[in-house]
Amino acid sequence: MGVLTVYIVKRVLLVLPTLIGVITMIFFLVRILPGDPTHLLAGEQASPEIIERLKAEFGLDRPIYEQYILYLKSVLTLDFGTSYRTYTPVIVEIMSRFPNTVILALSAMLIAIFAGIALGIVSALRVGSVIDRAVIIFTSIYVSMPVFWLGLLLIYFFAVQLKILPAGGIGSPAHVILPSLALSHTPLSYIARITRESILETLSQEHVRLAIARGLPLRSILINHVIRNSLINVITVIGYFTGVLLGGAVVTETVFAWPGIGRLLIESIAARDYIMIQGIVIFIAMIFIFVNLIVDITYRIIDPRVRL
Amino acid sequence: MSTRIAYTLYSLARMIREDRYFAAGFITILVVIILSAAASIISPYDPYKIDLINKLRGPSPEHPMGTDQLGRDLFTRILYGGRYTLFLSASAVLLALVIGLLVGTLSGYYKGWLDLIVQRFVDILMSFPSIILAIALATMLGYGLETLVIAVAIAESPFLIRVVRAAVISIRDLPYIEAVRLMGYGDLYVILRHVIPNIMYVVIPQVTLQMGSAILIIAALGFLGIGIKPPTPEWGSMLNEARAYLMDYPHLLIFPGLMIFLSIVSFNIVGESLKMRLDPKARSLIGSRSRLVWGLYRGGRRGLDERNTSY
Repeated sequence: MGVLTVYIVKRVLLVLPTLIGVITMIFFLVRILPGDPTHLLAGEQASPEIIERLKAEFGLDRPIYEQYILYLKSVLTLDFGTSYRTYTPVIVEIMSRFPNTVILALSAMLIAIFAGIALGIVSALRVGSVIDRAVIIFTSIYVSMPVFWLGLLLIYFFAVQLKILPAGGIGSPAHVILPSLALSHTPLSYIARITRESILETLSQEHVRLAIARGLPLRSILINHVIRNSLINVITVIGYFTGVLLGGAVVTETVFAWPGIGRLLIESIAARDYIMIQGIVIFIAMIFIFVNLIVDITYRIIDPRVRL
Repeated sequence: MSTRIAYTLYSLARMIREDRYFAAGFITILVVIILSAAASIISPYDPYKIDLINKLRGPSPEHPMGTDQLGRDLFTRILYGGRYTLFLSASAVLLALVIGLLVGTLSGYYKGWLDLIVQRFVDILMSFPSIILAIALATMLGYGLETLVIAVAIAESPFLIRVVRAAVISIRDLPYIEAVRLMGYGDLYVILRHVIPNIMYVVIPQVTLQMGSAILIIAALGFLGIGIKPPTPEWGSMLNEARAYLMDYPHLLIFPGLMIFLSIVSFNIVGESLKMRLDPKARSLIGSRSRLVWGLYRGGRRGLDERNTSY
């Protein structure tokens, strides 16, 4: 087996205990709570037959270790139970919303990647200049914007005042613009900063100095030696944020009434639909763990120095 | 002890004089805290008193930030709101600090199986975006100020555990610690007297940065209707109420958001400056050229955390 294969196998094996840990934590969190978990899951006013059905479904009459094994088995096969609000399986509800979350996350990442890398390059190549300072100050401030405030401000300016973009909801490509702008603010700032820093770091390295000393055209040095090498660092950040954004842009989706899994979570909390809440939280953790796995493996392929 | 306090005050004064960014952030935080604490002295209004005749007024001499949908003075509510937002965030960070110091020190100092278990547990907590973790805990633990603080503290703690553990590991085998151990002092003495004081240079900036993140989560939970609920004045839930009046009364939207934003920016700037000043590694790696950058860069992929992310 090649070194890479060994790394991948090891990394994948590390995922399992974490995943089981997440499920275990949620399992016990629901059960250490005061009161009967069936009441918690079905709501206070649940009728006796619902309670009975739940007890049978979750095997709550059986000993706790049996319950645990049962729970683990069903969750690992993506069976999160049935919502008592909509009477549909939780996974079906999640899957009907998840594509919207994916669309939002990907368009936000597109904005963040293009604008972030552009800002980072411009600022690094003019280090110390007014532009560089402006980029630094802008990204420090922009990253600290609470996304709900940024979102509401965007709605106020573009939807209420200028009336050029829809304030929320879904339907046309124009509906994606404001939420993805709001959602992109953190990854954009990080990407800009990391691009800038790694370009500055690469510029000071021997091979770049050598290229300059050899009298190669500056343009080709920048493109072939500097920017390309610097982007390795940026790729990890991109992967990381893709995971976070896919893991539910709860706040953004709420501000813009965007029907993704984040908003589904908030709706379920408002309706006290605990089965749904449990399912969504575990699903988000699964996505997050999975994307991190992909990012780690990709990074290992790009940069073979990485060790587990 | 008093010389130590005097020295701390002296260093603080020097930082304020020498570092414009730090000064701006530090003074902003101070002003916001004093204003919130002195809310009842500064404002003649009651933050809960409904006055429907004067509802939704714009800023005026009597009401510098205008009034809200129930005629309550917005400026007063923002002052009182600071008490909730800042006090709850500070409590959550304090609790996270206790957890972080306790777990991180034990894990880093003793290593072995304990460390292994703790690290796997931290992995589990870090498998959730921190806002999701806070939402899940706050929902499942039930509503209330205490549970809100506990939920946010748990969501914030993995970062502190990691930072403390790494710092402890980096010094636990250094000669001066070894020497104290060889002199026959017990582990507890070594940890309390020598290990913890010597990792504070990493912990203090991290805690300050964590404050920014806690404010963001508390406000976000308030905004989502999971945290503090109306009529209690909390900046996040005030913004949530303002949504319905967005079209015609933007002042309701601007002021609470501005307060959240200013507090977060200030804590971040102060945290980054402290890090530059206290952490020799941070200084030598980046240099004075780009003082605010370090926190975003942190020299590597795993250093990337989510302290500023709300989504």
